[in-house]
Amino acid sequence: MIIKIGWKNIWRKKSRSLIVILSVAFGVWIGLFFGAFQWGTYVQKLNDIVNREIGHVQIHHPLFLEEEYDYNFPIKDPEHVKHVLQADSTIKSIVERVVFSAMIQTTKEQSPVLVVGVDTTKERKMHSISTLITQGEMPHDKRAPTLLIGEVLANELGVKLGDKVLIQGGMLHGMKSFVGRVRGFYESPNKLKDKLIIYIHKSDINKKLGDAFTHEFAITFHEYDSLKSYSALLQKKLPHQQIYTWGQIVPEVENGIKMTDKVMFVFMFIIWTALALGIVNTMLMSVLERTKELGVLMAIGMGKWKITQMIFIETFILTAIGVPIGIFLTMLTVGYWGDVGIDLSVANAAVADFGYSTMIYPVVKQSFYFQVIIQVILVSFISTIFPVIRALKLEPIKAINKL
Amino acid sequence: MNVVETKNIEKVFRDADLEVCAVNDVSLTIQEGEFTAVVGPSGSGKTTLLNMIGGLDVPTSGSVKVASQELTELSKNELINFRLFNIGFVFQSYNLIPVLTAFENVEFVMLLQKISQKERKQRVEELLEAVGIPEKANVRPAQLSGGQQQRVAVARALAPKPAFIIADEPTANLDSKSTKILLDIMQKLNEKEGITFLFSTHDQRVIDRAKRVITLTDGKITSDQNMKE
Ligand SMILES: Nc1ncnc2c1ncn2[C@@H]1O[C@H](COP(=O)(O)OP(=O)(O)OP(=O)(O)O)[C@@H](O)[C@H]1O
Ligand SMILES: [Mg+2]
Repeated sequence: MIIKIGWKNIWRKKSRSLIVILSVAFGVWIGLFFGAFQWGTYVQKLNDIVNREIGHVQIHHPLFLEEEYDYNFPIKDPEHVKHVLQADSTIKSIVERVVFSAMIQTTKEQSPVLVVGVDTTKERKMHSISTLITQGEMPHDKRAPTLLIGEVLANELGVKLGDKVLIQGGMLHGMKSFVGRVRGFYESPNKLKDKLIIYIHKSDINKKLGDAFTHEFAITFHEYDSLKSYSALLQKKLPHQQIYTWGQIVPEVENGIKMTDKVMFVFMFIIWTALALGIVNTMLMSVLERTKELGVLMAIGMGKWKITQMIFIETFILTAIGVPIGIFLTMLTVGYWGDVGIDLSVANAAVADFGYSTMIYPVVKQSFYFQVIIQVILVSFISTIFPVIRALKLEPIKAINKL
Repeated sequence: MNVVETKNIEKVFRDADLEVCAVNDVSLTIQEGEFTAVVGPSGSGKTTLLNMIGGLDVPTSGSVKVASQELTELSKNELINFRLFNIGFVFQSYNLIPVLTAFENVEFVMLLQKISQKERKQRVEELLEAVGIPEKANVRPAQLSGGQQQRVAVARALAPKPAFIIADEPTANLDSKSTKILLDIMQKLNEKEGITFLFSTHDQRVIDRAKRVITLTDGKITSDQNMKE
């Protein structure tokens, strides 16, 4: 009967109840949609940057990062490391690279770059640079090592396909230099990266410079979620190398994700506050309008607990109607944009420059539904407390005599 | 048996420096089966007295016993529960719950008392029959006349089988025809079922039907007469 009264009370002022229902639905929808958007961004970044390129963890010479990717700090005994890695069943893929900082020079221009020597046949599994090639290709060449450079960099240096350029590395601890030929241009979503990274065949550079160096092993695990513990285990197995998680290699990406987390949090906080105020206001109005009635109910023997229940049930019903509507809206919109994608480059061109893919495909994680629903229920219950207190403070005689 | 027993109750209202003694040293007893009117000019303290007897208001001093329970000893929550089981209320402006039907309005108090569905249904039907509107069971208060609403209110007051029924000016909003019907019903319930009624009124026609008339003047009992002898 209390549920029935609650239910009927709700429909006394239909438009008012509708506002609450829609606010709840809107809150759920916004929460889920932005959650999905954020998660989509995260998944995308992991895919683009981490899974395909950086790897979940990387192995380097302990001083390599400190020495600013100097050519002269390769991994010691890479064959042993490879052996250990191949024997590890938690590891999904292993990529071995030559990596070093260098200057690229033409007769007129020069620019700092990071030379990445990849084994194109093996790298393909993890990294699909070949899909990014816009002009030319990446064939082996016996005389001058083949280079693949970003279009941005090519434009800046005025380099055309087939041009020869000088690469100088190991600036601080013994210069290593060679001449390569630009055979292809690539373009990735990340303009900063395009300007910085030039690709070369690992075998070419090993032959050219006469060292069978490996500077980097990039590894992905089967289970991303166990990243921390796996990398700690790996570090124990390889005490002479340094293991870095992707967050340590590209802190700006990790910070970017943390930043969006914070923005999300603030955003959700604002949404929930607005919803809470809406509910407090509506329920308070509904309580005040019923002052006399509540007074009568108390007079004839309805206890405080029952009154509390009645008002909470009203909020609960409104929330229970609003939540599925919000979920429905989410499924509709995430379903649509999850397929089509949201093109951020229109909204903010700068985003593209900072290594964010411009197409975002929102994805709802199962746990989002749970989280957002819990949050909405919490918000609506907390915001009902005040109106309930207000109702319980009523004195039957005064309430009955009102108006 | 004494249903109500007050001893030297007093109620003083303080507004800023103004003190009003609304009820002044009232001692009275109401016995089971009484049909008693409290009368007096406006402001004489009728409502205040009935509120204290009904456990809705607390006297400034003195004692109120209802069904042998001293009300001044009960906490607010205990009072609510006491009212639920012992006192039936009929208000001047009916005060039915607008979203509930006549049936549900009568049933509601029994629900609070946790009475079984079967028993509730049976009793509601009996009571609506007793107040003469069984056909209005599924109608909401807004679709009932004032007199019909007040009859539902009497049925509601009776539903929890209270020790007595308090009615503060139950006929003040009714026309003379509805007043007569309501009084007939109340009188019949009193005579046939032995239900105790304590009501206040200004209306001479209502006073004429009372078995006992207590007159208040400035918060004091100035006369207390048994009529039908
Ligand atoms: N809450 C209150 N605060 C201050 N004074 C009050 C309050 N309630 C009643 N009074 C005063 O107490 C006195 C008695 O009021 P009460 O309502 O009991 O009279 P009444 O006999 O019921 O009058 P009426 O016939 O108009 O209903 C009046 O002087 C009234 O102004
Ligand atoms: Mg009065």
